[in-house]
Amino acid sequence: MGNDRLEEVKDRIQRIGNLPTLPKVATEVISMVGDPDVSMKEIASVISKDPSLSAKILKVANSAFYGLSQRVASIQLALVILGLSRIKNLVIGISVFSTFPIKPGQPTFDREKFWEHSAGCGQIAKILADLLKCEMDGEEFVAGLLHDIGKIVLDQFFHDQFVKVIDLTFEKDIPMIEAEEEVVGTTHAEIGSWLAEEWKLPLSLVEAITHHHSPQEAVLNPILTSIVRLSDLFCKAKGIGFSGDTKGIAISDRIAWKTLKSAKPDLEDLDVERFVFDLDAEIEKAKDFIRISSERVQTKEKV
Amino acid sequence: MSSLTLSDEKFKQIRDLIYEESGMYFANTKKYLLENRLSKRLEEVQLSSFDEYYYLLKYSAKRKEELSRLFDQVTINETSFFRDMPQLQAFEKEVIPEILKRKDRGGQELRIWSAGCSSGQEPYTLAMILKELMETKAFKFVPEIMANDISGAMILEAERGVYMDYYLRNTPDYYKSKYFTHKGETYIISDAIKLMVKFSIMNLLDEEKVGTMKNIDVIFCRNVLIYFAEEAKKKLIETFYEALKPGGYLFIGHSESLHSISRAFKLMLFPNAIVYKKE
Ligand SMILES: C[S@@+](CC[C@H](N)C(=O)[O-])C[C@H]1O[C@@H](n2cnc3c(N)ncnc32)[C@H](O)[C@@H]1O
Repeated sequence: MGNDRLEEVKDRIQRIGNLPTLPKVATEVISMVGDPDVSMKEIASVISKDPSLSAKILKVANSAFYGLSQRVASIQLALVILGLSRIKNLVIGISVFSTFPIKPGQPTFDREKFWEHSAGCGQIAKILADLLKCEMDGEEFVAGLLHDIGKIVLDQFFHDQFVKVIDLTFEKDIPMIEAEEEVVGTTHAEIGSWLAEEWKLPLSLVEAITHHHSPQEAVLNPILTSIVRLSDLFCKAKGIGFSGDTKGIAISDRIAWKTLKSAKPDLEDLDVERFVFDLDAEIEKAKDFIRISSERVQTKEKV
Repeated sequence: MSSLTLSDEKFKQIRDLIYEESGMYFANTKKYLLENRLSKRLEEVQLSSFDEYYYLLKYSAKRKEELSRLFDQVTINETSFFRDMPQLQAFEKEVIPEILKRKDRGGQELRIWSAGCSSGQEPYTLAMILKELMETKAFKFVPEIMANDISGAMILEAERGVYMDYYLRNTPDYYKSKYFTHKGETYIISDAIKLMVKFSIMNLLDEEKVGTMKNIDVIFCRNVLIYFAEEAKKKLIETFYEALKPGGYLFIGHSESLHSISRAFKLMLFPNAIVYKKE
């Protein structure tokens, strides 16, 4: 296994001295939500201290992304209507965009496309979870959004090697993860997993990031990991993302499909053709999410 | 215009007759369509009511002939060259290479079937794609493309191979200049491509005829099933399954689904294209 190499990778990133971190509010909110002694009001006031984040939360809450029937005008109200977990997941989702801002037009690794794929994956995860009646409070969206986060780290800290990875993927026509093993000695899943731990993300999220290529290994929340894996495959089927891979995917042979089906037999009745066909509209919603999250908000505005 | 009206009762009788004979189903909301299209035909054969026309279709000695004229009138033949690029990409880049790889281990032919081929744009498109592949890869055999349609008028058009530019709206320039002769407003398909396709009139519900289609590697039956009622769809898909070799593929229209029709095939997801595989 690439464990030694993973340590080297970690060393190198730490030596450079700037491991990407989540904004402080996000870290605070994550730990507060887990703490039974913290009141909703306190959480609202922490979030409100960051006007840009607050404005974005309200924008997303009022967009087609949630499709709420009621206008949400304050963070307090958002917390009441959407609930603590949802808001926590929303905060994580929005925050990654300030950690890894979009840099359009990179020739080898296009971040705009990267986020399009990631948010698309999150959105598909959300619909799948709804369809199968798995209430996950938006964790499935964030899991989809963050599943490939290790790739950004590779791109940022090991750019030359990552370029080689991408070349090799095309040249040998192999999955990216195999090319990563070969060139870097560790994978975006392992790096993402480490980053998620450092960020103290909820453990089920860490697991989904770690095992999105090996859903059979998930123990904490195999349903979440399988949903993320399937969403990733559906994204590929929609051609969303930067991968030029044209291979066919036999969806019903996939471990993620089987795992999910044994937990949620309804999956069998999913009209995959229709589902895939209807995804276009959903992908648009995901783009809304990216647009709002990466906006530069006028911070003077009172929220 | 004449004032031939189609009563609800006659509409249902004719609709059912068409369904039995062709699998095409006209819902009540499509009555106007039958009325419009068949009125013209009634004038041609100089009949003054749909009652008489129904009799002609059902009992006269010329009924077979008249039925095929009717099919010419009522079928929806909308099509184009290079329709639905993502499906064609999956065909060219994955499906055919995979089948060829398998064939290296035996098997001498490559058989493609375009079922419901309209005026030939679909099978000719497949022929052009295969021709290109033949130029880059060594083929040990000439691919056979069988194409058929219930409408004799369409098959005649297909064999003529002369098209208005409208039908080439999705055709890449490369193919336009390599495989067509441009003449006025029309494009004529090259003989090399014509030779690769065998056309025939065939009703996909005619079990006897369809039963002769065997050992097929890839079936294209796009935008045909949409006009079929549930039962006819099921029957046809079963027939396709039988006709395919193990490992063969079936393409249906981009917006169609086999979900409620058959679970026999394995569903394969390609970028923006879903293809069915017989295992
Ligand atoms: C909309 S066109 C599709 C042409 C082409 N496959 C494509 O996708 O562009 C449908 C064709 O199916 C044919 N068709 C309808 N019912 C049929 C039947 N029972 N047997 C054979 N062909 C039939 C019609 O004549 C028509 O040409």
